[in-house]
Amino acid sequence: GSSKTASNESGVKERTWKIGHVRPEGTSTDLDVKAFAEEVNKNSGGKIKIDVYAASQLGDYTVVQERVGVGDVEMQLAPAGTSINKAMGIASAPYICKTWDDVKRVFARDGKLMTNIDKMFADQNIKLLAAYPKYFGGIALAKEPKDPKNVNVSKDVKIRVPSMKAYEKTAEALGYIATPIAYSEAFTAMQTGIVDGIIGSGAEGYYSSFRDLTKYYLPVNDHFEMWFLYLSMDVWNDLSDEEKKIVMDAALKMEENRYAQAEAEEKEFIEKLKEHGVTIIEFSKEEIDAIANKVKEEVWPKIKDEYGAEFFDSVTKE
Amino acid sequence: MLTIVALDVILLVVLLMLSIPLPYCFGGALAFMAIFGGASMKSMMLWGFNQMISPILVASPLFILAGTIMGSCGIAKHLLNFADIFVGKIKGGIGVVAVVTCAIIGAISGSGFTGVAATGPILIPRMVEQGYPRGYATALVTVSSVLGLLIPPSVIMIFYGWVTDTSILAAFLSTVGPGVLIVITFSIINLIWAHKFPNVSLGEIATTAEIDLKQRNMKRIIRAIPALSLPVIILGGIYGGIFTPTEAAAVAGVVSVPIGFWVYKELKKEKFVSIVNESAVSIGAIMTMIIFTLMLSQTYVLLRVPQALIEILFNVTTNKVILLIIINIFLFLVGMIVNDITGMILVAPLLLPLVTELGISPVHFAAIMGVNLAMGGVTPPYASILYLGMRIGKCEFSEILKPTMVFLLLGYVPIVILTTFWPSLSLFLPRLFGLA
Amino acid sequence: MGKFFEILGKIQEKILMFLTILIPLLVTFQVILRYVLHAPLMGIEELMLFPIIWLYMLGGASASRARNHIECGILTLYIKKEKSMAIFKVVKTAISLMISIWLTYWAYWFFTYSLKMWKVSDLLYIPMFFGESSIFIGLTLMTMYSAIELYDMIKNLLNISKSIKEGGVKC
Ligand code: NA
Ligand code: NA
Repeated sequence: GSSKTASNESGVKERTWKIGHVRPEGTSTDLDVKAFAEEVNKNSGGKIKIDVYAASQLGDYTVVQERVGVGDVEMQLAPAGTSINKAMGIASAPYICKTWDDVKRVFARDGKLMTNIDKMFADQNIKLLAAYPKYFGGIALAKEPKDPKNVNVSKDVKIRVPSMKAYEKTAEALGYIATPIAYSEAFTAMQTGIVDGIIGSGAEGYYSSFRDLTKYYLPVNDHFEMWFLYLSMDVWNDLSDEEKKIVMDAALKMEENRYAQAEAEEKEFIEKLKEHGVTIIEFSKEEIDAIANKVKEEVWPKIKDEYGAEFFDSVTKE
Repeated sequence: MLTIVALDVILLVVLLMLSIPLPYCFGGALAFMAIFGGASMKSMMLWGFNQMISPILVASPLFILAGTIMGSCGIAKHLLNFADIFVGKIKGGIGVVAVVTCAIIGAISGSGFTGVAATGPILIPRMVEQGYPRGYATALVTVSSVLGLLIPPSVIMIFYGWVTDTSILAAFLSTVGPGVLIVITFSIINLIWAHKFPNVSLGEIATTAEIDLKQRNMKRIIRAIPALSLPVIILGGIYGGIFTPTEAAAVAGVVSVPIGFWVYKELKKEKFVSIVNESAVSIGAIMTMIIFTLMLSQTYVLLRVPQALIEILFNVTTNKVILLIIINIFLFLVGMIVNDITGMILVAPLLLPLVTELGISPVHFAAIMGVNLAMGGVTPPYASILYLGMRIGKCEFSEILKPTMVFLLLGYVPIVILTTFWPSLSLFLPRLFGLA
Repeated sequence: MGKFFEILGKIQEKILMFLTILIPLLVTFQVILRYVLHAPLMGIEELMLFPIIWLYMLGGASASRARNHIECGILTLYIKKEKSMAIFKVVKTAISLMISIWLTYWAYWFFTYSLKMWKVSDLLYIPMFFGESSIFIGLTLMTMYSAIELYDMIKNLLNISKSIKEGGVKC
């Protein structure tokens, strides 16, 4: 890899790593990453220095994941990229979690899902360090939807979906016209009315990029956005046991802190949207259940092969 | 670290001066960064590939294709005849026709080449016939051609939006104000200058009877309708929510083919085939250059050059006016050695954090970068639009240089300064549309 | 050998022609599907990436073949002597070739990586190798055409030197 290592007199290697993440500088994620970098730096006595590259400066997160696998970039905090292994998409499969309690259970460290994700990363020469729960997804709309709570009514609204089967099918199951538009063009498309809405992100994402275009926000919890903190396996293997512990402890501390804050942060951003003049269309637990059941019936059979049907069934059964 | 980057930039300039093909100039600078700057190349091609398949990037080849088709399908001729109706009777009027036509073509085309490529072959000989020096005529058409990048749609603004995560529509609108002012300054300079040429005549209008003129004008207006409807389709389509700016480039190309074949009947099968081939080579030349430009800029990002630049500049001064002047000079120098798209990709991510610190909005900065880099196409040594103009106008560098410099210094640079220090000029329209 | 390059060039030209026409039509087609028929096709964007990247890379190869890459060209305005020009062109082409070989080497690395990983696209499961390999193949062609150009330039220089020695050409 390109990680600069130099032995000083005492024989302990000095290392400089690059960590990429997808949020702009100054956001809570950026601050979390910087706190992690500082923690590692401090506990290693300044021997491990981690440079933070915010806002996808090192490339799209799927590419950076490959770069970490190759060893050119040492670390990333991001969603699991599916360019190499489609099964990694299971982390954001629709309605495998509906509530924050589900999240803690489904993504439990020793649970079936995380054990498998850990293994899938390892297959790509990547050491998974920690999970980073981000938010529940929702739909942002520029115009009022018809009967938003009734999934059996066509909303006659075009929404931009990420170019992935799970989102396409979910959007359709919820009664929207799924329209593929690149994320980089989504803003312009929504601005001019090519599409009237967007799915694939959550309150935080919509607030930072789409708040001026959004008139309605529907927190339908269509997927859960889980991010992962990971390190190049080559770099990991090169660490002493003591260094491994320093890195791992800092990562776990980050995960723990995030679990403690995530739910509140999500509420905060929904509140911010509201203050910005966005109408929030609230869904009760029963209404979410109804939507989830429809997705389970209609969408799951169409997408589970993508993740490996057996694996998917075993995870959803839990 | 910064020494390496400085050496790399020097190497890049040397390679450019040696007339090395551009992809290899940037490739060479990239090799230097990999070998001496410690930038790992392993995942660089993978990264570059993923940048290249971005749907935004395809705007560039599509606009090249559309521009080449428009250049030879008769659209320019009928636009020229149309503009001539209004100013043909004034001494120097044909010069204004050139500027205005380039601006209208700018509203269909995304690049700085289309204006000169489309109007040059018709307009330059006509101007020479009317007694204008060849160098002057070529220079005027060439500098006006730059308007293609300032009047939306504009491919550099699509790139700006892409690399800085700014609303492309807002970026588009930001250069309209400066663009319109440039149309005015160029026209005024031309009208004054035309009186200094001893032999300038008015061409056919002077000898045409009034009654024939009316009939002729009517015919010209009707013939210009298809050409004039193109900007309406393109801009209406973008702002009316029918297609994205990138898709607009494809639509522009697709729509001008039938106009050329069946409406103006200037496009024939063989000509079309050669246009497509010619475009494919231009597309390849530009896109292979962009790949390595992107990779080079990524090595700078890896070395945290933007952060270092901010630090250095703020150590020199924290005065906003001085820093803005430095940025303008820097952009001017960048425009001298690289083309507009390259400059945008290379520099926008480097400077945006700096100007944000200065309290400049990203949309205002889009205009500052736009006017500066658009000018780069006509400032030697690397002056692609100027060289194309010379080829089309069949004139020497020595003939075109002086009039070009006069237009730039008196007509263009003042607008650059105005754009930089008067934010409302560029923010007025985006605000009107609620985008800034 | 000459015949081979001629055929190769023709094939390149035909493919490019096809791609150059195909891409705007596909984009426009999607606009119509979305705006007129309200039924955009998922996967067109993904499908597009393959012709697009091949257009770029084969276009680059064609530009090399036609010796029509963009150049800055300022210095060539000042070189007047025929022989100096010939020497200059040899040097310039040699540098280009060196850089091209270096780039091709790294493209080869990516080529083998792509082959090894055998990734498939998200929606249509098209192997990414069919797109990713374009970088290596395009650069290989570019390198090849640069090498031919260098060969021609050296031959040209030798011819000029020879005719100067014989006193046949003034310079
Ligand atoms: Na334009
Ligand atoms: Na220039």
